[in-house]
Amino acid sequence: MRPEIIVLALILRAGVSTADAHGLPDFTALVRSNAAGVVNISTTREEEPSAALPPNLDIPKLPEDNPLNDLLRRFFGDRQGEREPFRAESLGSGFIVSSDGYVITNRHVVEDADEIVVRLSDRRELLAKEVGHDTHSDIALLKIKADNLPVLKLGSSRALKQGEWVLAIGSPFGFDHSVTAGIVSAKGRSLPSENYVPFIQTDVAINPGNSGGPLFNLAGEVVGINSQIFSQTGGFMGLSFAIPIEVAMDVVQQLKTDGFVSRGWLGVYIQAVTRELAESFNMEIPTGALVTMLLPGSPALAGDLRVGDIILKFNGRKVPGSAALPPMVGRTSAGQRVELVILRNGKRITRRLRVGALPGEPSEVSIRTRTVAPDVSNLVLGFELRPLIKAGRRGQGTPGLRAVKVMDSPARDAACAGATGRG
Amino acid sequence: MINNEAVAAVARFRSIMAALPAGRFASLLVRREQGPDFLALKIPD
Repeated sequence: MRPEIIVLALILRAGVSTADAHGLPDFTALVRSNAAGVVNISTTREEEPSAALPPNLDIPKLPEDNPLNDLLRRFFGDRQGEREPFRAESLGSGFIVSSDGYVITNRHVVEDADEIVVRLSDRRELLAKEVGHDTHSDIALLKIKADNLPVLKLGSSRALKQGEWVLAIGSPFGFDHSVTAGIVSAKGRSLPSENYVPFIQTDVAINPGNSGGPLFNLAGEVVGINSQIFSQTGGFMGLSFAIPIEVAMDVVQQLKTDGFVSRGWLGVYIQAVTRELAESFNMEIPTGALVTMLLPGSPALAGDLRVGDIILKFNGRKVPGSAALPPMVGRTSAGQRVELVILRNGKRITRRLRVGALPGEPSEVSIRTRTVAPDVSNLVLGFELRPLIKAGRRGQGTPGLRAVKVMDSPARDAACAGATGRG
Repeated sequence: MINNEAVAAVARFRSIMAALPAGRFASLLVRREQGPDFLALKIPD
């Protein structure tokens, strides 16, 4: 009996000594060296009152004891239609990237601001000018008039590993220079609002006010910009997203030199290859980006891409999923020749094309279908089909059939396509 | 488009469907208001 207890005790001691050897990271030196490069950003802007009644309208005259009076006064006040504009304030974070006063933050922190004030760690408050911004990546570059500022060292998000410790410094709810830590949960995440950013997902506590602040690795290098959270409550839920520092600095460089950001463009609509779709395309594993549409006049159309192609490689880099393609294309210079490896009808082929420049928002061309009284109808796998008489074509269209009814069937089961994005 | 083959008529749709192997998935390109989507359709045994 006794030997067993000793063995168990030795195992426990071994466990304790392993934990001691690795230990938990000590962030104190990192914070001491870098907190001065993090700034608090506050903005003000004039807002027009939106709830005011038009001048020619008045609230109905109700008896004084009518409970609706409270509600109407709450929304429209006592002087309906004459409310004054008010000043709205917002808070965010940022960090210094040059000793002469360039500051990076999120575009949404300073959007529509009439006045931007940067507060340094020594409590100085300086008016900032927006040098430029990029909506697609949610990056803004600011400039303050100051010298000899503490500059943060930039690292590489590519070298970040899943599970690696990371740390954020920012101003959640205005509590400036708050430090929070966590790990890299995933890399290369795609969010609907910014297709061109392969986000770093972390479980670092990020809250409103942290936006624009730096994400550090354990070496004290900035590897990302804390930008978004996924939340059902408005507060932190363990899902934070940071813009990789390489993406941000590429944008910053372009803003400094050109004043705007140019992105590569293929002119394709793509979707994810699910396991089921992979089987239908005779692929062993789901990978790549499935082309669903080609825009007229696009580089993809000129380069002989077709609907149904699966883009497996973009200029030598594997495309593990559809979300990976837009950032790759976006970071390619317009005019550059690239090679695409494509799966078409079960065969890998190569196509070379010249990447174009991303236009403004793609023009919306709605699909309009018009049907006349059907002369043919059919029921196949739960579809009731009619010939398509006329279709406004988006890009390179193909003639088709219009499903006018879908019954409980394989057809209904199939109605679960992946998300579509622009490439 | 079914399995990358364009479909211009219901009769063609029927013939392609009839030839699909049972128990496997077929890709079906549909156009919806928000844009085109490929769906994976399981062919019943």
